[in-house]
Amino acid sequence: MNARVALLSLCSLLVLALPVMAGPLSIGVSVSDLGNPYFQRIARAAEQQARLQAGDEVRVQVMSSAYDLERQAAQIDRFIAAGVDLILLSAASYDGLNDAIAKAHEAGIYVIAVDVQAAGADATVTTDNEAAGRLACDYLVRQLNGRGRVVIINGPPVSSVLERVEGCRDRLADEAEIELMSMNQNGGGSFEGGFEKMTHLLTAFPQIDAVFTINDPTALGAEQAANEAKRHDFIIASVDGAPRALQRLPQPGTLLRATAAQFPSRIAKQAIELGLRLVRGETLEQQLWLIPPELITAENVGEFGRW
Amino acid sequence: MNSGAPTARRSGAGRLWRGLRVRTRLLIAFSILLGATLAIALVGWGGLSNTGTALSQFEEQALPDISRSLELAERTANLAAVAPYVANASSPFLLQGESQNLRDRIAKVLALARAIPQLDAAAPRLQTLLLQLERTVNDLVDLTRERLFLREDLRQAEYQLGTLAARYGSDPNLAAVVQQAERLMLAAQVNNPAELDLLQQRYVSALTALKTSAPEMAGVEQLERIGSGEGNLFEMRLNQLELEQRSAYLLASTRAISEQLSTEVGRFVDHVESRIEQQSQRVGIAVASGKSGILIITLLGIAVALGGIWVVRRLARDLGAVTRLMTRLAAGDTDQQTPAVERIDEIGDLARAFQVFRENAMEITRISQSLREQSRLLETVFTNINDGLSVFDGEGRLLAWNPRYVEILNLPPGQLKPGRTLEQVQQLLPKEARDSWALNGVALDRDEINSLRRHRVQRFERHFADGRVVEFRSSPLPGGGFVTLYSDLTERKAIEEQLRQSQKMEVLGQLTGGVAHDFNNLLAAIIGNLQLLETRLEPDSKAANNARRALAAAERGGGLTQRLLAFARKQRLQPETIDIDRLIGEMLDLIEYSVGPAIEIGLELHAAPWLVNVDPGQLENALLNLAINSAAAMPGGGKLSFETGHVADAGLESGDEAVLVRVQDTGAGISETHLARVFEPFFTTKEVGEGSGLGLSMVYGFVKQSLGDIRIHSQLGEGTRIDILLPRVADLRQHEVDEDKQGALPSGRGQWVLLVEDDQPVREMAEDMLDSLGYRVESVASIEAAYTALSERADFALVFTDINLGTAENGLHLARDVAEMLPGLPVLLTSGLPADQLSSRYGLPVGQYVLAKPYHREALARAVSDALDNTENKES
Repeated sequence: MNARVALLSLCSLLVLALPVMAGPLSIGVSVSDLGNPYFQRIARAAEQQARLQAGDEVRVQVMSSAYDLERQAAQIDRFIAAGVDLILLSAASYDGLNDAIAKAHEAGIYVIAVDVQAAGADATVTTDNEAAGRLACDYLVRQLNGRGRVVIINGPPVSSVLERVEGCRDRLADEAEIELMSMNQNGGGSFEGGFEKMTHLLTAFPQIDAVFTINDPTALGAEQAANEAKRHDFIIASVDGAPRALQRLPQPGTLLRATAAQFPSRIAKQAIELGLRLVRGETLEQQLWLIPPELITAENVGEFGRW
Repeated sequence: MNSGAPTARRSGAGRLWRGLRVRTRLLIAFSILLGATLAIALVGWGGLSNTGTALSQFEEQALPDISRSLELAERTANLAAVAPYVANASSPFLLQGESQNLRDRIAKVLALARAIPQLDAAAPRLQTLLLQLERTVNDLVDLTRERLFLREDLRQAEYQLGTLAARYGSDPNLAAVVQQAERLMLAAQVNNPAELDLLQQRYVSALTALKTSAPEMAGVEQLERIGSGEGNLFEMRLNQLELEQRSAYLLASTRAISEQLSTEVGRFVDHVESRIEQQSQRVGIAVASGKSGILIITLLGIAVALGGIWVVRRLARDLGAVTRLMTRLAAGDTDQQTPAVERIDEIGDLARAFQVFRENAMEITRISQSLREQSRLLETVFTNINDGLSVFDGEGRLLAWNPRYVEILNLPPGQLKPGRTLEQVQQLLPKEARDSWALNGVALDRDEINSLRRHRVQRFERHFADGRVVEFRSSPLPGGGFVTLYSDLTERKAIEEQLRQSQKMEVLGQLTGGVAHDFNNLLAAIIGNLQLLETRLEPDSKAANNARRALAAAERGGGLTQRLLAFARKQRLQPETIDIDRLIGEMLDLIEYSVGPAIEIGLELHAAPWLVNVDPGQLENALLNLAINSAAAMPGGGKLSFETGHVADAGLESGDEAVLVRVQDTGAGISETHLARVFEPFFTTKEVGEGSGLGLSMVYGFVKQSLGDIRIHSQLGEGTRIDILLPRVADLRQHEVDEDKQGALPSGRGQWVLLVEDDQPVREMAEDMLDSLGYRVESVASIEAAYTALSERADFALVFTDINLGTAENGLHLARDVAEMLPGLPVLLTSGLPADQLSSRYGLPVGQYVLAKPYHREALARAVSDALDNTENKES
């Protein structure tokens, strides 16, 4: 709480320092999936922070790409046409939006990549995904006492997902007696995908000791599949710290035991901050801003509020 | 049945076959077998390549068909399965993946379908269906994509509404705006188009009211943009529901197309199946034809092989027969007919060769048999000859010897080995037997004789400690070395010695016999005349004394002559069947008297009841002689024993049973050199004049003449033992009362006696004696004169004639003639020769009484009287 108060006061200071602008600030936010609370949270936090830092008259347009490049490109075009000053972009692909971003730059619009990197963006704010993957899998290794069969339910080939899997694999590779049996099942980062791929894996492997999923919806889908299959002989660790996951963690009989929490509010806040700085004509000391994750388990879930 | 022709053909072929050489026959059989094998190989090769072709065809055509059809079936089945994933894709991203996946699958199935040429015929609708499916799937993908975007748009709208609600929710003035926002959010969740329509109407009316009542109210513009503009929330939701419906339709249609596809593919699979069946039938036919070809040729090959085996068996049988014959021949059975000699092939050759071989073998057997016999004979001789035999080689090494060799040379047993040198063998000999002696008794140099033995025939002797003498007869062998024969001469030497001794005794006997005969005649004349003279002289006159002394001396001379004759076995013995024990018992006092008191006499007489037939007087004389000899050997006294007993195996000429008389003393004994000569006459160890040297020789002569044997055992200092063996006889004695022959002399009554005697002194002496006995005598000197006298006068009562009359005609002739011409006239024969000589020289009949010369007056008186009495008895 103190941290929040501190942040808020810091924000107020920044707002005060904001130069007077010609018109009300306009911000375009394009996230991947508004069905995902994480992105909802990013969008909302970005809106709040924008208002906090740039005043109530700030206009924020929130759109969802549904991970579709064409649609996202079209959204960017619409932002340009609407004359926004700043775009927060959760890119559907790292370099699939080069043209759209270039067009935005031509129109004098700054583009801040959030959650995932995007080629050509002025700055990127993401969770330290590698650290998140390592944290979650370190938890699994510790729970298994360094010995067991592990599967990874992968996700779309975006940088955040790739880095999480990389971090997890790094940690697993340190253990000689951990056997990584599968890491190619792509659950698409959704509940349904997690459900489906876990069903696949349960059919393929009669014994599984631990599962790492690239995000919480996948993890919850995987757990649902395990419940349907009546297999409770393994544990699941994930990345996100989504409200439903946090709800699930302290419940009895949960297979989901840990999640390396991201902080979408912090990401959004940082992104707005950076974007405003750019709008004010400042230059940024670095392009990549990493927000450290924290591992949440049943023991410490109470210390975390909602996103 | 006209089987004659084939049989003839067959037999002709058989003859041709049998006429072939075995090699040719086997070559033919093997060629056929080789041909059959090659044919099998060819057929097998052909069959295998046919099968291979069929298989490769199968592989080329059927297998791809199978795999393609399988793949086709699988993939078409998959298409339907994947379609729902596309429809249910939760995000555009997933949709992209799934739709790409599905399109790829369709493309693959299409490519597959195009690659199968037969597909059009088998499944004509497949292509069409696939294209239809592709279209449907594309529609579905597009629809789903649209649906997803629509969902995302709805979410954006909801997000905005959510933001609106959150922003104005706390302001009661704006409650209507918030209410409409919530109504719009509800509309985004409604599934029923009718309800949606109702919600829209309410919203429109509410918004219109709101706009009219408070046109500047915050959020209204935003509400209007979301709920009423182009692409408003209600349209989107309605659109979404329609899309869902269409999606369901497309899914169903996908399934339907899939099912039809499956049916089509099933047809194709059936088609492929039937084709494969045809193909496999073709392969089966190819394999079966190959198999049957191989089977036929294999059967042919087996038949030929069986034929070959039959031929080989026949050959083996014939060979076996010859082999058996050879085996039996080897076992010695030669009486067998050789089979198959008439055959012209190799078996025939073998049989003929065998026949020659058999003859040779039989010849060899015969030769070796005879060789074996000879060698056996030689070996038997070698082993069993009485002589030892040794063979040394040119270097003086022992090659062979017989058992007798070891015995004769008294070699230590087991020391002899082949290869021993002559010197080594000689070292084995006893020391004294190492010196060689020539036959004439000269010592020989050993080394010289050893070297000489190799070159020349050598004869020499060796002497052993036990007295044995061994003669060595060594002859060089043609191939070097020498063979030696060893004869034990000991026995031969002893026999030679014995022979020499008996020859000497015989000569001595003849000599003494001859001398004694003449002596007898002389003494007969002397004694007769002295007796006549004695009767005419005054009994007590000096002259009568002289005559008596002369007579005594003459009688001693007569005794001497008798002993000489006894030695010469020519004395006239008068044997009687007697009991020796009794005889010795009766003469004991005489013996005691003879030997003197210093000598103890022992008797052990066990001869009875065995009897002997000897002259008792001569036996007494002999025993006395022996007793005196023993006494002489025991001057200091001793013991003299007489023993008699039975001997069952005496080995005498007359039989084995004999009575033993043993005279044994404890005297000085006789040295070995003397022992050989003690029976020689005149051999004596006494001083000259003390003994005649005739005692033992007389005993010897007497015993020999009585068909007995005498043996002497003596050693110096241990006394002497003399054994006399006399043959046992059966008891034939006539126990008649001995008439008193000591009575008065029978005298004549003036009968005429014709006296025939060539020796004048004897004739005169006999004339006088007969005259003194009361007979009248006409004496003649020759046999002619006797005949004249007998023819002139007829009153002779007796003819008294000497047998030896110095002429061819003798007294026996005269006696014979008298018996013929004047039967009843008795003839009394007289002679100085012993009976055996008379019978051998003059043919004197056994049992003929002969008056022995010299005779006493008493003997003559009795003989004449007996001769006359016998005649009278016969006549009466």
